[in-house]
Amino acid sequence: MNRSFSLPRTIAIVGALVVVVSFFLPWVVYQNGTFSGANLAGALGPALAAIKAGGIKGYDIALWAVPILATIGGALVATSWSRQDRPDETRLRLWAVGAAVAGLALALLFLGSAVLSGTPGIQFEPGLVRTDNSVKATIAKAINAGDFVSIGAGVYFAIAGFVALILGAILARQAQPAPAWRTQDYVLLAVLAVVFGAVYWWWLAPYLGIAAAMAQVGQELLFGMWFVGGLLGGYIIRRPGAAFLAETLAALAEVLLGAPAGPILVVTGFMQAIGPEVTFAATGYRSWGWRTMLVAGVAAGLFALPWNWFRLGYFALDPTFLLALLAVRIVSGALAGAVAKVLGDAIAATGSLNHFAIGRERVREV
Amino acid sequence: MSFASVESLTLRHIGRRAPALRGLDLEWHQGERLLLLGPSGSGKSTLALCLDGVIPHSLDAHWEAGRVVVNGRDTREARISDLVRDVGILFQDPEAQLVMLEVDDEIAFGLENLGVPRDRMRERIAAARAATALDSSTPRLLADLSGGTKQRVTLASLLAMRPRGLVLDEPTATLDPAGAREVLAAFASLAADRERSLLIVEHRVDEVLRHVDRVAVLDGEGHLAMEGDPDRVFLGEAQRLRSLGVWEPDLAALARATGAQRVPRTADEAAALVTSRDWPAVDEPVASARGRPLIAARAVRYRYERASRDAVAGVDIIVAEGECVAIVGPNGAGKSTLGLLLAGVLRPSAGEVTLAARSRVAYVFQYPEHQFVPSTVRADLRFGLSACGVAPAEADRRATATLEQFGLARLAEANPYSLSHGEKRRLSVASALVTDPQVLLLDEPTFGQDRRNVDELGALVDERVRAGGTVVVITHDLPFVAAHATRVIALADGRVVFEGAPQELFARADVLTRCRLVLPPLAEAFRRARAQRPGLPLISSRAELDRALRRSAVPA
Amino acid sequence: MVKFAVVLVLSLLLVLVIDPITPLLFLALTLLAAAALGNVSLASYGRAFAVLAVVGLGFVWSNAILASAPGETPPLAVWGPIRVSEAGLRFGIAIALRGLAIGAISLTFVLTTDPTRFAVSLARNARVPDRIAYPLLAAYRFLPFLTDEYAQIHLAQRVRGAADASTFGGLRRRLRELVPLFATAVRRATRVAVAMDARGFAGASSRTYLRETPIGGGDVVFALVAIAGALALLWLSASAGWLRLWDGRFSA
Repeated sequence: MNRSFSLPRTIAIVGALVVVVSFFLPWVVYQNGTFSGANLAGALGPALAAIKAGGIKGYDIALWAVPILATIGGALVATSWSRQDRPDETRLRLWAVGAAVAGLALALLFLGSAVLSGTPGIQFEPGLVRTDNSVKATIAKAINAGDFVSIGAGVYFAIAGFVALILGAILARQAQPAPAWRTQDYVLLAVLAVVFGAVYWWWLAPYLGIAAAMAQVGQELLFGMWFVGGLLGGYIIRRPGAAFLAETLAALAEVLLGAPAGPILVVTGFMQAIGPEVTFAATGYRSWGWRTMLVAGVAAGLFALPWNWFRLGYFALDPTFLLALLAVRIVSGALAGAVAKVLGDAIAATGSLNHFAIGRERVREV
Repeated sequence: MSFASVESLTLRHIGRRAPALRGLDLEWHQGERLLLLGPSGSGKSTLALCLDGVIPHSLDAHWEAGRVVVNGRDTREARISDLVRDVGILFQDPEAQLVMLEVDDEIAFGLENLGVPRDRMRERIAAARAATALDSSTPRLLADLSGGTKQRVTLASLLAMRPRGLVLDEPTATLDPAGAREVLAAFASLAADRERSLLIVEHRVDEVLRHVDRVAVLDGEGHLAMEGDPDRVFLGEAQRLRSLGVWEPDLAALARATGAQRVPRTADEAAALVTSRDWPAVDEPVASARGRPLIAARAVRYRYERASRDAVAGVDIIVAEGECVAIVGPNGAGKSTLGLLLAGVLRPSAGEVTLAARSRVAYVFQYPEHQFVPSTVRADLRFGLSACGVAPAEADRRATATLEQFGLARLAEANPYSLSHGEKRRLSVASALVTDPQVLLLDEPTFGQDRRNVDELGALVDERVRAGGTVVVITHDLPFVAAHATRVIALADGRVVFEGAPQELFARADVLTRCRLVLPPLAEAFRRARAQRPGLPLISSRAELDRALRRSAVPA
Repeated sequence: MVKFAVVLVLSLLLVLVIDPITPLLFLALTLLAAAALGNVSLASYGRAFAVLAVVGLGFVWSNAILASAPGETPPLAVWGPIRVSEAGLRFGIAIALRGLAIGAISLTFVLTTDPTRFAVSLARNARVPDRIAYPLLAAYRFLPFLTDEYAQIHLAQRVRGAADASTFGGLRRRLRELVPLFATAVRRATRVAVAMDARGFAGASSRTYLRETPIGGGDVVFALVAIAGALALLWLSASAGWLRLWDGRFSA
């Protein structure tokens, strides 16, 4: 067993530990913007007691999900470390990334809901996780914090920890290095990015038309179009990072072409790129059938959800409505996966893609 | 001494069953200027890519046998960064080679890749510009350049890298005659430098012949069919070349007809040959004894959205039954626009276009890919028929018959996009003809085609005209016009500047200059000869030459 | 590159703002600066603003009816099951205006930036790998051709009689036309890649550059001025009591 030192994996595991520890930090009170070491030290026992006192509620389940996901992620990374020399260890690391992204989403959710709960005059309820004020009150009493508990440093640490876990897992070197990218792969990705940047820009018109008519549900249905670039890029080139690069570059191209949403769109692209990349990686970049593509499309939508949450103001909406949106998003994502596959196959049938990875599988000799 | 040698190379592309090159043995000597010919699909471009190391390092292929040695290095073992220092390639599509946005940046691109220090770059760029005649009057932005100039910029970029050998793979194939002139002039100045080895693939053989030391010909299977001294190949092996479908210089036929021992290298040499013998009189062009008018355009104008001027600015044309009308002119003169207007695809901004009753125009686009309906060749043919409302059973029958007629039966179930260039062209023409239109309109049909395909197309046009049908051809290809058109219309800046028989056009130097047209070599030779002996006919194409020779019963 | 970073920072700042007045101030300042310093005509913002206005309306609408503030007794208006709340309406308008402000900033960036410089700057200053930045520049050149090509393909298909009147058929036809477009784009991409490699792009270990793209004094000044301006606006807004940010409360 090869256990050579791997810095990225170390960082990943440290990140996971930070999350677990910081889970017990959240009940730190801001008293005029400071917190003391005494509060920190005293947090563990009272926090657990408070939770027990409050009973299990939705909020609690979600809260507990955070350290659980971090533990899963850390364990997977550690396992992949011990199996460093086997090709399927990539899969383990990528499941770790998946867990970490889910945890990150929850952590951001808490941050957002806590921050916004403090905003005067407007109350927002994070859709799937109901803020339970009685629980908060109990906990506040238990640690002598007054009526209002603000989730403080702990969440920030948790966010940082998850990010470290994600980065460490992705950056660790693989047992079998992937086949080298060639110039034509990059050029094709760039061309796809530019084409899809333009298509995405053009898609705004129908998107907004439907949005005006059907508000956010309509928006969700057409949202899937934004994912096709990354899905198609991954499907054609079939190498680690292809989907990710395609989607991010398409977003960049969209910005440079003058999209009104601004450079922030690149971050949106980035978030939308993670889903397909993780899915393809989970299959070891080997399986490219309908199932993979549909799942990748759905993953794009789901992984982008936390970001869209804040960008599009979803926290302002009613929970049941949000569930409907989620369902539509899943359908839309699957549709995007299907479109990408159909388009990819049609182009491959013309014989133009013979020199790319997809050509190996789909070439028909003439 | 050998600069590069290809030894028993057998190479197959991905997605093809047949190898592109089969057991090819070829030597490229140091300082030599080698002309490579072959029918389309014969592997010329493949060979060029192998010489640079692009195959196998950048592009995959099934390398089944043999090897390629360039400057002492086996291309499979050397690194591509070393190989590109030795050999540079100029490809045929000017757009698909440019990376940057400004001329100097583009020329520096190769230098940047090689890691040349910045202070050295300036002088290399200047030298490259001088070698390709890119002076200070050249616009700074690449987007403002013509096709020919773009090719020169890419050439400069290659020259700046100081390669020991240069390959030019059909550099003028997508250019108009004036652009081709530019590039070939640059080639001529390169050829003067004996330090560099040159390999050129070019079907305008007449214009490069004077710079060429040796000719190599590939056959359709990827073998080397013949090679050697140009005069020996073109004069001695003419039959074989014709059967291979390879372009040969028009002037070679002239040489054979006059019993010369060498193919004339310049127009004056050719003129001297013309004056050295007698020629039978050529039939004067028949004054327009035309059939009924099928398309009448009156004072037609058209302006594209957001354009600053009219694409077509006041044109009156009548296209009648039983003729072949050629529309010529420089790029941007409005030829394609006029074609679309005549076909009724675009509606004029002013004026009108009337089509005779029960007449239909079938339009064949310049790039066959644009018109294909993606699925299979057979489906593509049937598509046009069903769009005309033909019943499915009848459509099937006609499609099958047309497939046979055009030699595409073998490819009936293949995807249209995977066909070779010549096959795609045949398919696009077949799809137009299967619907039995009254008028066939072809936009640049001979673009990038080899000899055999062009001859076939010409025969098709002749046959249709003989049978009373009508053909309109938009083209730059003056030899084709000379051989097959009954009437020529020259456009410049959206207006008609000439209308008449091809012979008459060739006699009008002013029109030729305005339309950036260049006389075909035969026409030029006869024109100069006529200046000395006014009684001579003006023969401007191989077909006319052959006819004249048949009449005087001299073997060609 | 500096410009890009500045725009990104300003956008992020604005994301934190949720009152209606502050974005309006930003919008006004950006347009003024662009017109005065950047020689950009105000008309070019027109299209983007039209788009953003529609987006904004969507937000106003959905927030007005779906968001609510606690303890707000009578809703502003009631139409059957739809309840319009004042707080929601205000929030929606704020988000819409914010979108407009961010859009204006980014559009200004696009209108005043030269693509080659940007791509080279990406490669050198932002440390984006050359093998990604240069293909991106090459692909950027594709765009006008692709639009022309698409128009040609559309025309060619129409000529062949592929005229489907129904919208569904029209959509199907458009999708079908995409295939030759992509096929051509892929083929051309392969040729460009080959041409780049043939000039030594692949495996170029140590590159040099013709152009300098240093981060000059002018860039720094611009960044400082822009950020100072943004902060000044925020301070102005805060002191006038208009500003609302995403803050946690500090007291019960």
